[in-house]
Amino acid sequence: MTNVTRHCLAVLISCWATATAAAQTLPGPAAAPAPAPTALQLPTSTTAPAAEVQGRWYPRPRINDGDTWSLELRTKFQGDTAWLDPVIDPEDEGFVWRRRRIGIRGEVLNRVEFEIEREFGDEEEPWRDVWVNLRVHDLLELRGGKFKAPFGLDNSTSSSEHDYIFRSLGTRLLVPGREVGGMVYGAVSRRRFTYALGVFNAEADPNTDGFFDDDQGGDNFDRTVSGRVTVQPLDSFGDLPRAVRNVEIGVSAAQSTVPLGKNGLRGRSVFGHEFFDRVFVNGDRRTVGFDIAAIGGPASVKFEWIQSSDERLGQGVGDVDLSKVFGRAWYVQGSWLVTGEDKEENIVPKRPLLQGGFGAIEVMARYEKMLFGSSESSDQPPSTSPRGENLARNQDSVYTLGVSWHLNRWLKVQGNAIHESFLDVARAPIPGTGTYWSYVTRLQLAF
Amino acid sequence: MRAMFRVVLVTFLAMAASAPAVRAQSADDLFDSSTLREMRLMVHSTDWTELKATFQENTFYPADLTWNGVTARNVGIRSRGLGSRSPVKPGLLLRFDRYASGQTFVGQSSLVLDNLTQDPSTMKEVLAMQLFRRVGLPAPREAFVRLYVNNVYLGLYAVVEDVAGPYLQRNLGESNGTLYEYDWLFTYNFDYLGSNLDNYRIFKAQTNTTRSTFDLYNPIEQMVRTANEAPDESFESAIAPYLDLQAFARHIAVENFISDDDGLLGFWGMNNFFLYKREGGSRFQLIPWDKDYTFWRFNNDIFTRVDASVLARRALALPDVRQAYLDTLVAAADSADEPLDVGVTWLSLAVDRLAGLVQGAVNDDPNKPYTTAQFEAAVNGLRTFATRRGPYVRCAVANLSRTPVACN
Repeated sequence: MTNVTRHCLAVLISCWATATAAAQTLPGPAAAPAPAPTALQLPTSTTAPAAEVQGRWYPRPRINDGDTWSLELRTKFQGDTAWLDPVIDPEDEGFVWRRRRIGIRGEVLNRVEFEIEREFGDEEEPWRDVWVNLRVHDLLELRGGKFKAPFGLDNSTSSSEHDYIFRSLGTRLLVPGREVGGMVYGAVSRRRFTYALGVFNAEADPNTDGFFDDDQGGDNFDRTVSGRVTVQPLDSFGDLPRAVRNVEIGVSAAQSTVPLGKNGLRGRSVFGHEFFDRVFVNGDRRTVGFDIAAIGGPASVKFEWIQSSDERLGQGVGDVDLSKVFGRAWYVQGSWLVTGEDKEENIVPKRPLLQGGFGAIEVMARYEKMLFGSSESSDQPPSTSPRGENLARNQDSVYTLGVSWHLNRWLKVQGNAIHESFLDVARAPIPGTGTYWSYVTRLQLAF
Repeated sequence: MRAMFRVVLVTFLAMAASAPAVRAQSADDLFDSSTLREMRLMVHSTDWTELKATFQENTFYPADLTWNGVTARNVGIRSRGLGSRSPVKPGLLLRFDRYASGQTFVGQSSLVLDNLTQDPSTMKEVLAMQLFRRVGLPAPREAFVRLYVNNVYLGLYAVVEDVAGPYLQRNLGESNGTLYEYDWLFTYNFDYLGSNLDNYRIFKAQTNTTRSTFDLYNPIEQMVRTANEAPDESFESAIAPYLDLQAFARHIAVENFISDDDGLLGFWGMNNFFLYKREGGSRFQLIPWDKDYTFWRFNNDIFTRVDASVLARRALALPDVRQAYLDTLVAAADSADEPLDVGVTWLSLAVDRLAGLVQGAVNDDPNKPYTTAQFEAAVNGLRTFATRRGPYVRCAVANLSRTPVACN
């Protein structure tokens, strides 16, 4: 372990200790109702009445002035350690800070929300969520700024609440990323029906690499329109088990323009190694997705299918049109909180560590496939030419087995064993070697 | 009814028999130097512009190739050459398996399209390789083509059999050994470069490239060290595990006959050859390459620059090797002067036939870096060489065992 690693771990553990100590001084909701806010007296003016500002530590540092305004401090620290077999690139192994984020979220007059979040591990593009939200009605909210485009189930789940260390390959490679734009969204009867439609000015640089920041989604260019609709069709059937009533079905779609050049969809493995090279594209990129999730008590089951395709107008030899290049992904996953906590909301251990318990344990498994190729059948033999009509397909099949230990509501330790196998071993990360194991652990502090 | 059926059947069979047979194209057809066919490349317009703009780079671009009714799709093409690289009329390497694993074109995994920019006669390379083969030394096959890119005539090119798997298989019966292409970087005449194996990377491995530096270059270092340091009395036996000196002598003899100034005994040191080492063996085999800087002087001395090369000097000091060298010189002269018709020898006739074959294509070539008049002058120079080189060489060889006479 390097000195840097030791130092980073020390910082992380210090953060955890501080958070735990704070939690111990203020009883958590499992032990007692949320603590009463601690009143703070701000300096008063001689000409105006004193403003009564309240503050609290639980579940995260927050100050507010009644319903007039509030501010919350939010952080997200994630450090990963990986072992690979076989080793593709020595840099894949060892400890790495995956996220070091601090943000502030606030609300004004119960109508306007805002968030500013900075990633301290990304000097080139440090700002993550920077947005303002106006709630007109449950049916109509408006958001502007920089935030994630509405698309997909996996993409909509916060990285700190994700069951797995890495999002599914389809989400990382195909869905629109976090960009600057505007969105209109709303919900009916809590979550029986939700909708979101956004327009974003995507500025993805195909030469930059945000792959491991998998909140970022895939590459998108120019103006991107993205939308998502979800329904809970069984929510009104009160006789059904809760997990069935909670079944949520989502449909997503996005369209953007891909710039002329070798900017097509790219297949990359869990650790970012290429297994399907970019091809020349020109025209639109269209992405569609379907997902279904059932969460009941301590268990969850999810399925998601995503397909994205790029037009290749005039990109063949002799400048002829080619069939689209596509990427298609799906996954099915399940999780179970062995210790019985409820998974419908944020997981809060019934008996946190150092508070008379061990924390919460969750086990999970996911199987996914990620396929790339050209969309139409052809009498031409398959090739890897970036201008080929019949692109030789390649696929990464991945299964992930995981366990998460929620020490308390802020600290989580995850372990994932990831197995990958490639259809075309000549284009696998190590040509000729078709299967790979990765073992990854994550230590997370988030509030 | 039955009689009518018989008539129809017989008529059908007769028609079928009289129809021209659709013969599968072969490498022999492709490298038939008596023909001048069209070869067409379809490339994306931006790729072609970029290839020409970055002609010094080795970036591959996809293309479709059509020749004589046969089309190969998803061929990788790139600019190639050393001094012959051109942004106007690029020399091209075609790799058929670049984007389609295992793809071949009439049995070839790769081809070279020589842009013929360094030889106003256009035919020196074709003639040189033919002469190598006529004296029994394997050499790449070549033919002329009119090359069209995106249906625009780019010029006259020579399609050259690449020294790759199919060539090795055809000539040596195997292709899993290690092939090295000599990569000219500086004037070098087989001197010992020390024990650092990286110094021998001028012999650039083309196959088995994932093997260790030791595996690839230790055999070459040992061969060069032996050539330089083995005592005279044991030189022949010491070098034998690495090189067939008789074959080496035959190779440089043909190069001398064709007055090659850019070969193993070139003006600027060694150049334009491959080495092949069989898998499990230690002996290297020479393969000639790029013979467009030849046929200069009919009275080229028969030992030109032999002393410049440590290997040639020591090899030709051995009587039997020297004799093989002289015998090959005479064999080359006899082959060039083989009478094919009354008063017509093979080399003279080959020059005339090739000149007639390519004359129109040269005239039409919009990108040739020489004039049609220069082409005709160069062909005339070849005619002179063809007429006088053989007699000169035979005379010079004979002078070694007689009171010398003037050879003109």
